[in-house]
Amino acid sequence: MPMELHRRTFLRAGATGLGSIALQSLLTADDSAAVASPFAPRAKHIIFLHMLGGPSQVDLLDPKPALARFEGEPMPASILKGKEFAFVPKGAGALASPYKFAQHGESGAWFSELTPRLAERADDLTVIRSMQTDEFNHGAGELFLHTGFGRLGRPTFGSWVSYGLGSLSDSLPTYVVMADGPNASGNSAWGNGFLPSVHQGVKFRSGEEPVHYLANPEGVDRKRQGQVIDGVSALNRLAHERYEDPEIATRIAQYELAFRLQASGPELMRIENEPRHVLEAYGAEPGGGSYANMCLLARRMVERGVRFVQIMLRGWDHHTGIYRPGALPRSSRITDRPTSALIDDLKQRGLLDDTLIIWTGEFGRTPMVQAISPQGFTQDPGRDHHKDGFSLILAGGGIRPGLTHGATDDFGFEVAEDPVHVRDLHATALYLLGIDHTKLTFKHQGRNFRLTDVHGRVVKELLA
Amino acid sequence: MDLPVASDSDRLVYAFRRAVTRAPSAVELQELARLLGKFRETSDNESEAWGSLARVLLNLDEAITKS
Repeated sequence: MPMELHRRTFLRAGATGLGSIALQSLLTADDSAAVASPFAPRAKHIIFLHMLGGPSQVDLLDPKPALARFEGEPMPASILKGKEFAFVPKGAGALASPYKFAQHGESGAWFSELTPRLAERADDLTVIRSMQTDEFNHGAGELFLHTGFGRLGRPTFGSWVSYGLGSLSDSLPTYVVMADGPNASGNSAWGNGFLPSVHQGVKFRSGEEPVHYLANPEGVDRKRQGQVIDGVSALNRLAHERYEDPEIATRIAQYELAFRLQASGPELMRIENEPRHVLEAYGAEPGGGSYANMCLLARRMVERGVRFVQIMLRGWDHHTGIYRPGALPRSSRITDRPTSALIDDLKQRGLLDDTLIIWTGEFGRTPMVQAISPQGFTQDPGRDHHKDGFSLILAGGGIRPGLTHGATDDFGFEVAEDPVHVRDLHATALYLLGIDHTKLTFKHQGRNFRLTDVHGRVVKELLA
Repeated sequence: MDLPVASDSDRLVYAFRRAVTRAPSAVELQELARLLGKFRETSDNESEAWGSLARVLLNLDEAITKS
């Protein structure tokens, strides 16, 4: 990308004067690549619902009756050859799902009884049962899911989208992140990597103050705050001329965005202004940081022009608790209603066509049991991490609804048909946003990088 | 404290140096003077105006970036 050109554009914008003109021009003149769309974009927004820990696809989306026939017996050695797992030994037996599966909707997609509401929306959803990733532990798996690389340092999908397409809102961040607690890879899961830091995800807290210290200090009114930010920007612009550091441009843009967020943030976060029936549909309750509240906020953000919303819900790392009501069934319940309400709500408002929803873990779980006790089955068996064949759900944004794509083998272990790698997911999602994943590049350490690096394939079968 | 009391300009240079450990350029000094004037127009007293100016200085990229 011609960075110098951006600097000049930037400084020209800065030179037109201070105050409102510069304030208005800065956000639109950010360091985006402004990639010419080679394809007509189908989606403008992404809502990325990350189920942290790795949901068990064999208990949720990918029924494997064969596991019942082999219950407790070791998986065939041929299947396990060369495989690595975080915890289970090679001799681990099969664990059949205790949950009933049924086909739903006209599409006949399979869902287990754990997510009855999602099942009712089968015809709005697309299930991929042949997902693959490269990483089998959480930190690396999260990074791979978000950056396409299992180590630190790369920009996330959301950052690439911010870089490639820029902002749709002048008063809210392009890329917002919400989480119900810490995740294994920390803020690298929404980090900008080597892209200018204006493209990093902005983490929102729950409540009226989505970022710390959003309110003005005592004795400072909005007019005075505007004058101060104006002064900071003017002097920072002079520093930018002096040092030519793009991070100063980021600082200017972020201060001015924060100033606007002071006005737009509290309004955005006030979910109590939603009608009762909407709050009830999501199961949202003003004041908390629940997944339901985050899903409702995601809709409010998309409505107001946030391009990329990333929600991270903990509680899916079921090394134990496949049967235990307080474990997998509870996590399923927590995700089922708000996710379903989000889809309905976007659809009702005509926003689902423009918004791609991705519901996934960083990987799936083994069809084999993880029994803590060396005696074999415990009272509370679980499943280990599994990277070679897992399932996810997509909706909206130009994806073909009602489709079940790909298949795993009889044990749910390896992909048997139509593999979709995480990089293919990235390539396909970028395509839906109108971006050719091979063209969205950034030069770093002597070569061009992209989200999909030297991989990735647009999965045309998934497109509407 | 060796606070200069002589002139606005001396005070601005002093404050800028305290924040970023270098003297302001002529353009920067001009900008600081402009800001001070603007703050004075909307402040009830001198300390409020200078307080706002200090908030600007302490929020500069140069003041909050160590790398």
